[in-house]
Amino acid sequence: MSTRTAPASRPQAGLWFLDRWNPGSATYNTPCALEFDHPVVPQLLQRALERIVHRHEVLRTTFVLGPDGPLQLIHDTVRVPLVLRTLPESPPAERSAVLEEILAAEAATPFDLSQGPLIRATLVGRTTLLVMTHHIVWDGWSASIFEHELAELYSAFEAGREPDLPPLTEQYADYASAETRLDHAEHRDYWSTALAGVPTELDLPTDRPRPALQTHHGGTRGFAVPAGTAERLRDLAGQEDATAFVVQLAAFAVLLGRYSGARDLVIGTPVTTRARPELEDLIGYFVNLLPLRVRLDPRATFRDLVAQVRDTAFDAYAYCDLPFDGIVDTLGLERSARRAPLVQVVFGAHGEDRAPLRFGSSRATRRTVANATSKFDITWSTFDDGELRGEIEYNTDLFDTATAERLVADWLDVLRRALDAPDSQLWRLTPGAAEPVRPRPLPTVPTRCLHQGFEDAADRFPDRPALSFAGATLTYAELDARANRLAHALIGAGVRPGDRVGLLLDRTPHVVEAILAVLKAGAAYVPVDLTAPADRAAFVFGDTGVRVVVTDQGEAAPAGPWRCFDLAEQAAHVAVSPSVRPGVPVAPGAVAYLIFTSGSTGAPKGVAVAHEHVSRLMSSGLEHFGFTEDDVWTLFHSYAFDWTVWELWGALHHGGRLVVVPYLTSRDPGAFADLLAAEDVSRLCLTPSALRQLEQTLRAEPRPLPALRQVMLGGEALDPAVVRRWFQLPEGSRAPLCNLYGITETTVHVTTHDLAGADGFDRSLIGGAMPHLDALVLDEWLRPCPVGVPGELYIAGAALAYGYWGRSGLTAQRFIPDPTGTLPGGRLYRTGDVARRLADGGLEYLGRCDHQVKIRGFRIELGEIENALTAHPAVRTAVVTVAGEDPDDRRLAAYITVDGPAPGHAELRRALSGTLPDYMIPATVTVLDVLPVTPNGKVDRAALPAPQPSATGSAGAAGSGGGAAGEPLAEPPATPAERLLAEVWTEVLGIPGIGRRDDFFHLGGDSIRAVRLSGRLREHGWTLSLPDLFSAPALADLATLLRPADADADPAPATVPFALVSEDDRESLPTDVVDAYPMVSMQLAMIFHMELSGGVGGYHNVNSYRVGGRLDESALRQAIADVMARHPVLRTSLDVFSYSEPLQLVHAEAPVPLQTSDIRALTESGRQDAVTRVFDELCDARFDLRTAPLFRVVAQRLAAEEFQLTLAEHHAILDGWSFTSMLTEILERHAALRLDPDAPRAPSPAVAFRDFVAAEKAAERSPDSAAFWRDRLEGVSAVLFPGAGPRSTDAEIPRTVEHVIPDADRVLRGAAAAAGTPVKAVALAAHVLALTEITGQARITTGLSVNGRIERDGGTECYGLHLNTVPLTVDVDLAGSGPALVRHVHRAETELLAHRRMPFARLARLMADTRLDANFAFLRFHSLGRLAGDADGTGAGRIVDDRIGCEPTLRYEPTDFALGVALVQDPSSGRALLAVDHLRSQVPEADADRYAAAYLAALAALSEPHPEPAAAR
Amino acid sequence: MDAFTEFTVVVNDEEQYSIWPTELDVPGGWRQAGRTGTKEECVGYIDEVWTDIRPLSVRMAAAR
Repeated sequence: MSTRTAPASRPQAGLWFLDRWNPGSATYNTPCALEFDHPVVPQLLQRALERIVHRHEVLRTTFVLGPDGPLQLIHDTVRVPLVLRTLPESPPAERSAVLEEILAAEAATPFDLSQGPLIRATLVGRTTLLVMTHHIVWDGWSASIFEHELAELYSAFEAGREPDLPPLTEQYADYASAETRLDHAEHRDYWSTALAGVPTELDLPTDRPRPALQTHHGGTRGFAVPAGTAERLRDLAGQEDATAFVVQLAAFAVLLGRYSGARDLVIGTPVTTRARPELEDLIGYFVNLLPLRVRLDPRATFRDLVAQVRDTAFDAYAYCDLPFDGIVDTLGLERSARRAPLVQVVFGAHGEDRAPLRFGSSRATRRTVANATSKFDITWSTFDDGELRGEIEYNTDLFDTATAERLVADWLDVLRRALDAPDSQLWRLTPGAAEPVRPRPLPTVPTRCLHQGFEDAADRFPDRPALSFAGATLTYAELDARANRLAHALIGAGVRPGDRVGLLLDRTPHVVEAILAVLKAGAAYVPVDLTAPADRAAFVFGDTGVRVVVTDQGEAAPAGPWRCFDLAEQAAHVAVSPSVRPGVPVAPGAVAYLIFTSGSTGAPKGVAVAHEHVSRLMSSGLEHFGFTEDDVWTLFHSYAFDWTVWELWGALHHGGRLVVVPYLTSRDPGAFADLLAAEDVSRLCLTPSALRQLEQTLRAEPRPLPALRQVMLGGEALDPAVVRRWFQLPEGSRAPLCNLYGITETTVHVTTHDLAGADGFDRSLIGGAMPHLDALVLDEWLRPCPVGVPGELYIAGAALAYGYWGRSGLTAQRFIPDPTGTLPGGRLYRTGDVARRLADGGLEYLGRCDHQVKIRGFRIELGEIENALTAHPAVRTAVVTVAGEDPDDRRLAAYITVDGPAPGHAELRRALSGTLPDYMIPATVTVLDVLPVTPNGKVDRAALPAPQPSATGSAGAAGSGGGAAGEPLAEPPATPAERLLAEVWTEVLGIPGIGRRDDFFHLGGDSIRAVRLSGRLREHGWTLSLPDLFSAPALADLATLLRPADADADPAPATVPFALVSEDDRESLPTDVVDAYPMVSMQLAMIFHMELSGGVGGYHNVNSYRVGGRLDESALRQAIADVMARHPVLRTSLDVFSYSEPLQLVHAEAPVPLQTSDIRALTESGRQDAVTRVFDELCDARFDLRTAPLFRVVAQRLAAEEFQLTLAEHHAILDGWSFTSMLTEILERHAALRLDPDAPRAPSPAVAFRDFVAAEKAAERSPDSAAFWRDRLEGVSAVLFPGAGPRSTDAEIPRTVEHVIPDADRVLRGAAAAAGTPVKAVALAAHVLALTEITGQARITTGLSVNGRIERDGGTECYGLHLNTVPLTVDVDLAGSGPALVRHVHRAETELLAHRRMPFARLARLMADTRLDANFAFLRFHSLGRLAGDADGTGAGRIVDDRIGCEPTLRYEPTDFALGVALVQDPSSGRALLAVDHLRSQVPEADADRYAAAYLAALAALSEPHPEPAAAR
Repeated sequence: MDAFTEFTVVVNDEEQYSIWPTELDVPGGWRQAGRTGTKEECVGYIDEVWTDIRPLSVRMAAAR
């Protein structure tokens, strides 16, 4: 079989790239299905199929990446078997279900572009033919060619005649070769101009946040278009010299504008590139996607729009040769992994031939097959066969089916209106508010005056407590009497019904008495907060024309044309006033209070609210909240904030008790929490800011609040973070939340959203309107916004305030006629808040209209950014503002408060880019200790400081004479990963001198170069996914995403029990075995070595720890049993001989290997001896490999609060990490069970040791790794001590030299910082230098212990032997010295990481000599840090070790290397232990000692300032 | 509302005044009050003629 090559056409290259982007996806599968009326003959179909594949080269093509992009490989022959599937003999419905299943599965099976064939055919039940192709060789036109050729061939074969098919003068490869030679300069110019400054993202409201990586899960819905529409479209098109497509697209643009708010948008449309007659009969991919730009002027007529779209489309057709990817590259657009570039929505109008096809004696009709994918966010298609039908393919990660259906309905509506009245302005093509979406019920509840509601309660509950303050309580009867006396006194002072009475009072029971008294006198109260600026009271009282001011402020009350009623002065007079109710008649429509609001602009203004408004609110509230006389409320807020209206009457209309919170207590969260507990408060009203403080207090000083039934939140937007934290408080000190949205102008509250937990509250949800009100989301044309589209919130209903006192013009602007006509003459209040309606009918609050900003043409809700910020675990609160007055230079500025260390700007940026489009990511992030708040407890945006400019990396070149203007110098790559990347970029882009801030795409990178970059990195042993590159195109960001290449193969496919064992072996396993798998190479090596040494030396480890803490034997036994249950290796036995290969057997259960003794009675030296005796016994007691478990534990009680824990294990079951994790887990579990014998057990790790076994097997088979190591190890010898005699087969106990390095942390870190590497590279470099010193060799090959753990969640939790040893060669002379050497060593190590799982046994065979004399391990076991830091913590027990803090008191851990070195660093103290084990037969004691000294000296030298680096000024 | 530039002053039976875009039909229960122009012109007119923002029925009750 021979092949020839041709370049892929450029559109093919685009599809090829998408396939690389998302390998193994079925997104570009194109199904073509035929339904036959009679069974067809498979042999004839097969022949017909073969003939077509023979005729059309493109169906015999596969793809490969060549030097200049993807190539087509055209094969002489390709077998395309017709797969036959049968249907069961069952009822038709069942058969049809099976058929659908087969078709769906077939449609979802991806193609491999490098393997082919890219066409396959399945005949189901002889009557349904499904031909699947990859789009890269096919298009809609191809389907029609194919069907007709297939029909003709079949018919001819059946009739035994020659088929009549048109000759093909050209093949697709010829077209592609010519196409790739075209120069598109003129086309590029056209598109650069046509799309200059175009928005690259269409911001359609989605049902779910857009995933950080674009997905292609899809759904398809067909829809009918009313009969006659096609005809009307053609009519209008004819009038405008346009096509029906243009008219449909114009209507579609109107729809998109409506949903996105965009006035300038791009819609993709597919066009054919079959521009020549020779191409007409050719199967192949002849499709280009044209980005059509549409500008929407709402004042333009639909006819205007049709003309515009016509001109745009016709121009674009003239320049359709430049492939879409070329257009994107020409424009130099920002690419993003979140969405397709430039075009996210596609519209196509297609002709359709529905005439049946004749297959000899059978007839075939076409059927559609969906493959559950979506190429774009939305692909909108219509099909015209005289009448119109439509189809919408939509991304199901973004849109619900209901949304897709709503879009369809709205488009049909726009289309109908446009065809009815094409001269209408565009804004009239969608329904206005006067066409209500749903009817609103009229309020029918009777209303009462507020004081009457209280009087009713006082009559029902005269003796119940009404008011508490500072330990004293008034009953309802007492409070009523006091209010009556004060009312009489006020009437005496001249207060008349309809008057206003000013209040200037401290927060005491006087507030409640005075409010009641003013209302009883028939007047309205006008409260002024004491913390308001001094001139505020005079302004407010003057503005409202109060007759009297009630105050307890003495001389401090302002003077004016009103009478000051000083409560202290008048006390005696009030005391003798009548206690009976004054009985002044007051109508429910009378004004009850005037509360002043500031708003963001203009002077403060008094909102006039009537008794009946509050009365309706309270009726609604009673219905929702079920208030009772048992409730205890707080008067927590300022009476000048209308939250208190709710607090007051929520309590006093229902017989509840109101606790007046003194101002100082309200400002002290600790004292307030105490009050909540002491007073048994059940209903609490707070602002979210106050909730945040309360939550913090309850977390720091937990206290039960059993009486608390509900916390009502209002006054500002509730952010998800505080809700999440609240519900994380312990049960008993928290309560369900209710989020209330409200405004003074609509009487306190509008909507309610109940929250029983934090689930589902990922945005600021405010729920639906309370029964007495309605909420409408309208746009600037007063049209209802579609679901999901942000708009301004308008409130209608029976609790709208009268307006602003004395400001009729302003009232007229904010309270406008209600066009829905629910209540004739009714009004809507225009809130100035932005919200959107959700699919469930609820509302999401987005922020103030004046916080809605437009940047680069995108409308941005600051609240959305704030919520995304607080989703970061370290961010406690966030506020986002816009900085910069100049509209061209407006930037988003974020302010955050944090828990713990502040995340860097880069990290936040990365986190935000997962959920927000680029244009919504703040330019600056300023960290504040606390956010400023207003007296009402809301965030005070005006008081935010100027934004902090973000750090722009660590500019090393400081002192360049500040203020020097001009381009900053390119920052050179700083880390090995960055340098490697820069090198590969240079290679791929042909540009030298790449800086760490450079952007791949700005430097000319494009999609194909991206694939090449990924391939080059893989050759270097690193992997980088294409989506990573697109989401982090800057070099420094990208460097952090590099992973060793085989980590890419991870997650290693999780395996199932027995998956790695042959059927025969499995059958002969003992019955108690629950899992079995082969051993890894290192296990076999250990066992082999142990067998060889007669079981004396080798891999039998014993560690003994002195543990501070009380020993509880039964808890320890249970702890070990629990740990064994979680970790199969602790129930594993090893069997080398009984099966076809050595196996490890996991048993369902194994005995707990614990012995305990109490040696407290012994003397100190006696205890010492007893510990040593146990240690020696455990060293001597070898394990029988075939008996589980392969570990033992002895616990000896030394003192009341101290015990010795000695553990022995066969090294083959545990590596160091696993061992220390096990030790930690046992001690922690012991402590937990000691406290609570029923403490719940953690779930088993998600990764099994079996997975590692499978991964090692995969590594052994990997050709990449084999090639890497062959290259590395050819001719390499790891013999360092050539003079040593042959190794004896007798076991030899190694000698150990140990040194504590007290300031290891400083030394290691200093050297690592100088070199820009991790600490481990420094430790390894010192090892290399020390070896050079004692061997005199300049070329050192040492073993390096590496860890092959599975890089998947749970990988670090899995216990087992994940170790491998790999050889590492360093030419010390060539590697340089100081930091350069460290970098060299680091690079050598990182390069091999990708191949680290290749078993050493295989590597040894590649070397010149299988001996590996030296080995180095850098150990840092994080789990021990949990114990070391536990002096005060969980009481797990602290390891007593005065050397480095975590070492065992006794240690026996033999190795097999002539010189085995470990640097063990304690994770908490930072100290380190250098441990040198050597076999005296190989390395004399003097040499080992010299090694240790040389190591310490090398380490010290590396940490010295080195003359070479960039310390130069 | 902000998309419109020309308004008319409207009033309902409670003698509450407001403004309404001339391009839209006047909602039921409202009638034109004799002034059309920019928003500022309409608002200025309302500031002059509407001196008590309380509804007519409430004003009447208070006056009794």
